[in-house]
Amino acid sequence: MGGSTVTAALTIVQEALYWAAAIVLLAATVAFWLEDRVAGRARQIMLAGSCLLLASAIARWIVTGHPPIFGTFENSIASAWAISMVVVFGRRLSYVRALPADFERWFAFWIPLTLGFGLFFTRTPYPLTISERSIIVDIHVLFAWLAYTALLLTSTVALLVVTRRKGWEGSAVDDVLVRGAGVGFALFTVMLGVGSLYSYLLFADWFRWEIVEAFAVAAWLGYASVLHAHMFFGWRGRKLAWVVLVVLPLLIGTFWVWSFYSTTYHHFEIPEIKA
Amino acid sequence: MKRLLERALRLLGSWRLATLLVVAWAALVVVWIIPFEFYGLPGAQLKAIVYREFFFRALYAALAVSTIACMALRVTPVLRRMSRRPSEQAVPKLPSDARVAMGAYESGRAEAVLASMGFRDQVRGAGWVWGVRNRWSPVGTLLLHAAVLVLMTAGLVAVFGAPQFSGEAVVAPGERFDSKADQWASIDTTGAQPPELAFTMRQVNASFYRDILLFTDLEAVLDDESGRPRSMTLASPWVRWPDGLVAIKDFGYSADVVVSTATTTSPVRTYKLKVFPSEITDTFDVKVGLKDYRIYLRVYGDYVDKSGTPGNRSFNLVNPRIVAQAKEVLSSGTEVDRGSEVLIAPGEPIEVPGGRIVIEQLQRHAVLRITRVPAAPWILLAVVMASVGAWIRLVTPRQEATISSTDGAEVSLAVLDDTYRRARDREDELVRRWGGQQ
Repeated sequence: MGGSTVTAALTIVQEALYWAAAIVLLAATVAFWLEDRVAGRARQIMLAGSCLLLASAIARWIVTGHPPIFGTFENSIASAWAISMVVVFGRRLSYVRALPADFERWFAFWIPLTLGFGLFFTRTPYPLTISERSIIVDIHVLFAWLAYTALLLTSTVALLVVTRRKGWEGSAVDDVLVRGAGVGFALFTVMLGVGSLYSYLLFADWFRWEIVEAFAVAAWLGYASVLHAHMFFGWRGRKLAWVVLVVLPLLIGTFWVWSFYSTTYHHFEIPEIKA
Repeated sequence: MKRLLERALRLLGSWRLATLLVVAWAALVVVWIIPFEFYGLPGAQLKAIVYREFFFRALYAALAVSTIACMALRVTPVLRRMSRRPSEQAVPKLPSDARVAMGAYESGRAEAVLASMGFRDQVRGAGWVWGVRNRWSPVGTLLLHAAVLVLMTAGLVAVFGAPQFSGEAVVAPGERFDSKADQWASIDTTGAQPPELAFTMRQVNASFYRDILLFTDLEAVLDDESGRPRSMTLASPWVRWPDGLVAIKDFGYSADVVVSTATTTSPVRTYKLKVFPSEITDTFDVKVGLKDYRIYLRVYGDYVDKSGTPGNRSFNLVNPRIVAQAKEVLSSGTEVDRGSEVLIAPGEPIEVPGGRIVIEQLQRHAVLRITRVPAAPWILLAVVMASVGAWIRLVTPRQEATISSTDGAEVSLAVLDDTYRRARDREDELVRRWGGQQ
């Protein structure tokens, strides 16, 4: 069997695993809303979906020769997987453990949303373009998705706090808001630093005022404001949650605007080319 | 006077002003820069706004003053906090809602429980044990804020320091480049002297994924002044100076051209052509007999794009073919077509009246970008300080834990966090390890 046949077969396997993962993850998201007996199993279903999605990502990695970091579709896989990991294992983080029981129910919503968003873009597996072939990019993207997941968690908690849902108040919830913002801010800072270093190596320019980086600076300053508001003025509860939510569009903009906006050098949608 | 200065320092270093400035900076980027990005304003103009516009400069100046004042006011308390330890004589103050756990206080047990959670640096008193972990974490605050000042210093270096240099050199394999010999293809500088640099290009490699315009590799190997080979890729330049890089940014074709007429054959002459991406057309001028010709060239791709246009989105690197057209250049400067476009491979002729032009070989050359950015070391320092500072302050904050005996068979427990105030999750863990809560 030739290399291209193996690649073609793996591509089919990857697609099959992806769709299986998507269906299972969607089922898990729905299961969190069903009666207690089913909801009790939702985390296990989510874990199964996460494993399928990981298998799909690994198969794609073998086909393309790089981790899933290239283009919106691949990044939607990386992001959805990171979110699913928090849904499954988040309660092992001591400060997340104290959150009300319906946390996973709401946070899991981001998974089908993210995967669905990725489906609007090309799924053709391509190798990495030359400017992305660096361990520095891998580190940059790793910190990017860690930061995104931490800050998305914080934003979800903030959303539940401002909507005054039952149980979403008190010191345990505040702890998650503040620590999520703090840890997310630190991860975001490292992401910016690593990206800035790479920009210098690639363009001899430490920072480029293009759309993604402008969003990133605004979001970074936004989360800095959140931390200042808490540390210096003691903001907690709904007041702090509102500030977190004000920054949420900047976070979403930082991580997804490049999908649409082709003039940024963070844009990696390869148009289909016919031979 | 002293009191006035102190009041001014307190005002400038106030949390309120600092927070206001951070929010103002974010707001300026959101309402000014991001809309212009969507509008499509070129990067150079955006850069000019961010670095030269009055509002931004005033903001940076205010931020610098505020940061310096904040640090001046808080360096000492932060340093004190790092070395803060309770006296053995005084029981550490616990919060009023400290956790209570069952089990009579035993000094050895308390020490062991705290140590098992990382609170190894301990102070023991009568009926209590205090421990600290991540003791030096507050220095992260200083690092993070000092990074802002270092970044602003970098800005001052960029504006008032030695000018930045950026130049391009186009060098083919076997060719020697010497900056003193004025071999620059272009120089974009504000008066900076070109750096001293000499090397010989050894090889240039490039590759595309299936010949479509998805660049997958671009590498150059050169021998530096001492004959040492230096390899570089697009993502991994040669760091030639602490503040400067030699980077490969592009490649092109060097065409070895021979012109022949019925009676003569010219020596080989090399023309360096810009040919990538493949829709780019470049030219070279030759003389055939007594006539001047301008040859228009572009690389022909083997794929068609979605719109059906041939060659626009592919680049045949392995087996290159060229779309060529010869135009005679009259003495008036007017160009006249001398034949239609022809598709040729290296070695095949372009026929013109009175002779033929043959591109004998196409060799890849490197387009190198050579830069000196005097502010670069400062910016690198700021990036490292900010990343390390944010990490140690926010991910590994200083925490102080106390286990104190109360009356009878109970102990009080508390974990105070330097960043997030109360570490209730750590308290839960402490209670669990102690053996249960009342």
